[in-house]
Amino acid sequence: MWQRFTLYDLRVIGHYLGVLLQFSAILMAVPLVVGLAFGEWEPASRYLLGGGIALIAGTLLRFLQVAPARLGRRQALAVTGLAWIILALFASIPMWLSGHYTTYLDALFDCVSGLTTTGASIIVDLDHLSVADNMFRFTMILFGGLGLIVIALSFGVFGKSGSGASLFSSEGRSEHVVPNVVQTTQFIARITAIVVLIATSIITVLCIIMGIEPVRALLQAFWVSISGFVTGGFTPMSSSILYYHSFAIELLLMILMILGSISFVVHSEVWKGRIKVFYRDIETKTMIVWIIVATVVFTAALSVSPLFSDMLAILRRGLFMVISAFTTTGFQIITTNQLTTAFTSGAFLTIAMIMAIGGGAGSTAGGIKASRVGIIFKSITSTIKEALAPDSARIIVPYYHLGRRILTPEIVREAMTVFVLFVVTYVIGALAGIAHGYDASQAIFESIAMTSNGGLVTGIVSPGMPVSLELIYMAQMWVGRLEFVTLLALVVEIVVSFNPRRWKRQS
Amino acid sequence: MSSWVRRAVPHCVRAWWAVITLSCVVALSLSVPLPAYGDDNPGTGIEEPPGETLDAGVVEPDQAADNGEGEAGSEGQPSGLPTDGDGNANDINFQQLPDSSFIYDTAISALAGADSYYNNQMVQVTGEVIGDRINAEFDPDHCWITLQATDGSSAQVIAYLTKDQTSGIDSYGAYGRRGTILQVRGTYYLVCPDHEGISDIHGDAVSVVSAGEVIETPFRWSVFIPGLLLVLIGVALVVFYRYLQERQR
Repeated sequence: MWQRFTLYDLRVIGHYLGVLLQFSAILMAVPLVVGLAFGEWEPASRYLLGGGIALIAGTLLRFLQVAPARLGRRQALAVTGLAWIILALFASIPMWLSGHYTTYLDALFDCVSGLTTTGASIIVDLDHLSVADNMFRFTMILFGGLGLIVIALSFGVFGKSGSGASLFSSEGRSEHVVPNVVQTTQFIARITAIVVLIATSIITVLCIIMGIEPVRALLQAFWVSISGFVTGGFTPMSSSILYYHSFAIELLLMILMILGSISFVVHSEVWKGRIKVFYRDIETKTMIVWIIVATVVFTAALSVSPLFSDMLAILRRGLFMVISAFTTTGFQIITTNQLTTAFTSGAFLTIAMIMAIGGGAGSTAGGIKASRVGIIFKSITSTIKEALAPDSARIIVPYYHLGRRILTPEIVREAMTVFVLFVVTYVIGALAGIAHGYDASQAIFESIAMTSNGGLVTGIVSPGMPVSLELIYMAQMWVGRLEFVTLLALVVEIVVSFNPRRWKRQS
Repeated sequence: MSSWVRRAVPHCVRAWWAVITLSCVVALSLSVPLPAYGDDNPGTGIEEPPGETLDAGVVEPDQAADNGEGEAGSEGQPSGLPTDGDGNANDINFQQLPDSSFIYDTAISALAGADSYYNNQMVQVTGEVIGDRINAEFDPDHCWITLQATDGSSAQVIAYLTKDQTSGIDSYGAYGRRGTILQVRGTYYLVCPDHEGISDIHGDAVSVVSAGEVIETPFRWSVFIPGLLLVLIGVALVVFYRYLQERQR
């Protein structure tokens, strides 16, 4: 049943990883050009160096298999699973050389956080970071949020190898906006470009009104727009969105985050004028119910706090934090200290649970996903109906997701499997945090933030954190972004490949 | 004392004269005016907030009226500074009596991890001004600035100031720029009731500690050489790869 990787498989995997590395070398031209334009010579030289290293490494990997071959499903899973880590390893070289990270591992953590759109950062002195470095951080967020494979496919990086479908689905995307994979990826990129452009224009004007210099205003608007729509969470300033002290910007970003957490397939339907599809979707209904319940619980929990008793404060700060957590963006308009001291434990853990569930499937959001929660509840409904109905009755539970569908055991099993895997990972991460001596509630919160790619942190994720915990959190971010199946399949394949008994049996 | 004085004046009278003389000397020395701390000391810009008392840096505004001991201001403060031989004012006045004008110097990193103990307390912080001056949303006379700790911790605190108070800021910290080092004294709020719950300092007094500076980085070809070499090698490898690919077709 379990097949090991052959040498040919490894060569093909290496070849396609090399293609992606070459693509990332071209991506480093973005911060290089920006650095040169702003007269930031040292950062520009770092990205020239980083681009050169990635180009050499990528080309050498491509030599493993000169004639391009069609990717099989197992190979596609391996390429997708390893791409995130391989790209992060090379992307962290110029970041580490910036001097804003205490160790190379910290730079790698930030790059993994950016590519997986977690948004938790352990950079030192972010506010003195160069424009080139910031541009690279947000480039990583953009491509990680849309999907490395999506971007690569839309740019035709994989050529006509015909491997697009395998790679696309192995990145956790099972739904095609249009039948053609490449057109789907181009649609996703187009929607993102339009939304980001509109948001950038509005936020630039708002920033200029607030007193920010025009060039800085444009850059900051562009970066937070990208980060908001792809639910990334990185911000150019340490104090996150709190820095802007602007309700208008907060409102716009809330809309942006919600748009980013909606499935691109639903975007496509709305774009075509079929708005009813959005309202009837099981995911939309689940998200609305969940958000209402979570907001009521959160507001009630927070109002008990003697500090946060003002309704206006609860509405403004609380609602933004709820949406930031629900969409797993990670923007903050309160300080990390307030999260642990001013918030009650109930409000604190409610935020964690909101992050745990996450946004919509097929979007840029992380977490368990609202559709899976909706399916699990439908399954509970089905079980109750079966219990109450006579033995001879056949229970059919329909649900609406881009058309009327019937709930089948396979769909329920897939949803339950991923749900359980997420919960187990949350627990493992929490236990790891507790084992390192941190407060239990903070450890739970941080573990959920990492696995759901939420990015709201309470202080455990910081420069100088324990190396073992840092590695565990990186693994959680990676696993959460790929939604387990891809990564677990890859791990199984690798383990099986190193099993000598399998070599004897197959020879 | 000479013998004729001893013969002329009785003991009790001499004792009384000694007491009177000593009392006059003490009274004279107490009546010399001493300056309040901070007079003739330019650049501090520290202003005494009217009607508030400062007791070891912890201010209880409600108790200000009841606290008779530490009234701020110049009452009871002797005038005139002791001077050195050159006639310069001595910045540190050791004759100043201890009073309640001592400000509690707070580290920004301490405020970054503050709990409710610090809420509504008078604090004084010193940090680098970074980013931008953000205009307050609904108050045209006020603005927000961000202060970053200079102890290497990168901790930050937000200050709510009037635009006049920020007139001394000549540089905002960013890449290639070190911002003005500012000292801000004001009330710290863990959850500000006036600003929908953010953590901020409402600045009462602001002074510039040191000006900002621009850190010039001149262009040097040498920093680009390693990257250019690697890119050239990479391009050469790509060309060779394409050649091999074409040969295999």
